[in-house]
Amino acid sequence: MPRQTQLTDAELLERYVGQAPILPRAVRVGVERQLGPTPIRLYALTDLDEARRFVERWVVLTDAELLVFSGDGLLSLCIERAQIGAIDSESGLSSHTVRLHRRGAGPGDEPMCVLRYTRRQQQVTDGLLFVLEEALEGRTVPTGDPDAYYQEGTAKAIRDAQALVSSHHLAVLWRLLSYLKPYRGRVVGGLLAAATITGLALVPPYLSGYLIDEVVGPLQAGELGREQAALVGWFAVAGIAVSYVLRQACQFVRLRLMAMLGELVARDLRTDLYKHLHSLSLGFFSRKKTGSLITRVSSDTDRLWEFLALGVVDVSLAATTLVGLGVILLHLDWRLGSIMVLPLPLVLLAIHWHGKHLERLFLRAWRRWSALTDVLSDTIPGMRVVQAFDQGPREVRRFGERNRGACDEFNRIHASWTAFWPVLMFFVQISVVGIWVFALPRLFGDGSVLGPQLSAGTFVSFLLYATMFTAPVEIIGQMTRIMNRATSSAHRVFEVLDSRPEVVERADPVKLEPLRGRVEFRDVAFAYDGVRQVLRGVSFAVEPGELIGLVGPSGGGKSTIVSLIARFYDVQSGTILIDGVDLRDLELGSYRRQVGMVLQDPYLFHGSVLENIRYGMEGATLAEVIAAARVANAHDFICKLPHGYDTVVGERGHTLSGGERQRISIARAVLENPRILILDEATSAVDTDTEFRIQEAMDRLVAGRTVFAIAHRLSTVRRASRLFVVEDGRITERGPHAELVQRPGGTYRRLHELQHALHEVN
Amino acid sequence: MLTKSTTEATQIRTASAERPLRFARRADGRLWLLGAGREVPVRPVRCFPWSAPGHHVSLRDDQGEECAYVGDPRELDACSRAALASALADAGLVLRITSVDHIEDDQEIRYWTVRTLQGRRTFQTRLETWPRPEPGGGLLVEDVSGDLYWIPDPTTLDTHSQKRLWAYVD
Repeated sequence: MPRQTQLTDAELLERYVGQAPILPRAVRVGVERQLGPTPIRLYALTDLDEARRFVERWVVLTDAELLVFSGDGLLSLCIERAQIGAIDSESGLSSHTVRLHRRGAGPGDEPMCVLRYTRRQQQVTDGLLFVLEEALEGRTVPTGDPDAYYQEGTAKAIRDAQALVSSHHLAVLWRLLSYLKPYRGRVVGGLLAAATITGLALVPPYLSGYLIDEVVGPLQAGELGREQAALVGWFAVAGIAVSYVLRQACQFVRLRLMAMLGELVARDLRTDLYKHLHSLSLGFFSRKKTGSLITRVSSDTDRLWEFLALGVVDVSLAATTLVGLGVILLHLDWRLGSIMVLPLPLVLLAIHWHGKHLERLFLRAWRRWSALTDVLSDTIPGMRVVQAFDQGPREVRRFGERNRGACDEFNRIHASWTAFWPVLMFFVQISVVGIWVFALPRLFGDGSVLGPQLSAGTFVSFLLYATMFTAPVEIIGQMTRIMNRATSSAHRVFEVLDSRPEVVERADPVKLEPLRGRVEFRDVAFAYDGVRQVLRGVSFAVEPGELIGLVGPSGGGKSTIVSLIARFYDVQSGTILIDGVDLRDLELGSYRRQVGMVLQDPYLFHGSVLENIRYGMEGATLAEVIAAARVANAHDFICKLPHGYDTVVGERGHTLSGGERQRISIARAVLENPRILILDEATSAVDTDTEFRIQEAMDRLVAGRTVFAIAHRLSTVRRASRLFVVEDGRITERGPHAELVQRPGGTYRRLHELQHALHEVN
Repeated sequence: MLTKSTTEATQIRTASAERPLRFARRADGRLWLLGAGREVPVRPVRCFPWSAPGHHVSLRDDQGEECAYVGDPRELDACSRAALASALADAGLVLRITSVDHIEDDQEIRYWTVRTLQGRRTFQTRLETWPRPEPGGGLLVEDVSGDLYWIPDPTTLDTHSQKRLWAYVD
């Protein structure tokens, strides 16, 4: 099992927000002292006082009371909930003020309680106030675990902003390395090859020294015969040559194995990630930006390749090489070795400091770069407006200023590193000069104070080893950057992999095929955040083949009803029955295949018209596709396209008009032949002629199915069997058009009259 | 330029010599619009909170409808002006930074520890959310929850704070 890398909400609050992760014990004791053992329904922190200074003030809600405590458990207010008659609130730039008014209080009277808090506390406090407001209407809201609600609500903003909140960078890296497990052989092979490369790199300096001390020197001194010297000499040279050949062979093995290994792991991560994305609920996608998710599957996995293929081995070998070289240099001659080894920590420290300095410079450069790209992302999509208002020269000027700003910052970075590295290398080279200074007297044989006589061979070996010092120092200098990039990408990838779907299929689901299409809501309540209900006690039964029009003001709950029917979310209380079976007990795949949707902004995939119509029914014949297109009034315009049904529609179908895209999406729904059909504002934003064609297509589409149609234009749902007026999370009116339009004071009648008047004006 | 008919079409109640606007803060803590046979609690909204914070105030009722507009508070009597100023101070509260103790970049998020007029505070911003220069001068930082932190003049902060802010300001 991978190690846990994510902080809990409570840990996050404590560590980063500087706020109590749970209702303080002193306050709990205070509640008990005041009321005796009583369950706490919800609580919230209000963090501003009357003078608008930060303060810790806890508001606790029980079944019958509302209490206000200071952080150390001092009770400042206890009121019976029954006394609260009205609540008003005001929102400022960074603060909210809520006033609780006594039942029967007149306008302008002093409130019973005033709460002030910053936006950080808003979600939790709003939830608490929602419960109070509902109680004023005589409704009870189920609240769940108050600790979880407080922690989740307060930590949510940070969670939404950050891919994965964790302080355990090493844990993330370990988890990443666990992906290497299936490729143990390659990892071991790559590491062995890399270790061999390091070992072989030590051979030429050693043999060079050996040649000088054991062959050239004795030969010149007449202590060794020419033939024997030649034999040993050529063997040594051959040894150097063989070490180079073997080294490059190992390099080949290492690069090949690790590069491919990195690619394999990146592939596995991409597959896991994409597969997991398809298992997640819609709520996840509404919280995350599309671009960010695409980056995780593409760029982040690519960055991980860089780390796994090169970083892991390079960094570990650089560290080993440095330690190994240090030992060898000290072993060869500890006096000279000390000259190289002792300044090493200082060199590494200097690299680290320089890295930190560069980070700040990069931060500035990144900020300027963002400002530059902002101009691009602003003006290129809005070029039509720029040109219409003749603002081209101004935009060019704006871009020029920001371009200069970015260039200045990048040059500041270049000025820094181009000064640092030559200076650092100068000091490294000074060490080499220092070695010469201390070695020369000993090479001449008169350096007794500085140490014993030094052989030329040992010195040559020493110098060659010393030159190998620079590369690992540079690699270690880059280690922080490599690790940061890798952990950052790994965080983002693991966040998706760790997300759990909100809608889960039960272990032994019921498969209903074919559905009859009876849909029943029994006292259904739903809240996206767990407390603030957007549907409250909704009940209705729709028989197979009925067409239900859902009308009412925006935000009333129409879209939530159809989202629940499609089971994008699960209800929190009440039940949805499909043909008498609880929707949560149904097999999700089989059910969704029998539910069709035609949305306000139909989504077409990059591909041909044929592929788009066949999206839900891959096995449909061409004749069936044409038949579906005819039903959708799409066949004629498709035939006029340059490549007919094989015309590629471009990304999101941008080559087609809105009405054409809509009719293709209707054809897709026709082909899928769903038993339950959801139409979401399908005829909005098109001209009258197109609307007529779409309406005609939809009339054919809805025949024989259970249909839920959301519409703002009431004319499109006049033919519905029944209309449900959805307001404030409830169905306030229901019945056929003819009946509702006659209902005095009814919402539907008012909406109908308004639209009629608008039509008259037009 | 707006034509006269355009401006007339959007006229709402403004202060004038004939029909002066009057405001008061009542015991309920709210700002009330008084006179003209109508007394209603209102919420002041600065039209330009950063470009012209002292002018152009829209007064809205509980339904969010504009019921009055004050172009320049000097048009009001002293009591009304004081009441409006106090209500604006409540509504326009931003957390004013007096020193920056720490800034740290983490994965996709930046942690700040600051001292404000309201007290010490730790907050987080998205990495791509930079301090924003305001038209009236100063810097505005928006945290992940939407709370606003204001530095009226970064050059008046202590040396350490300025050093910590250096990478984030021009």
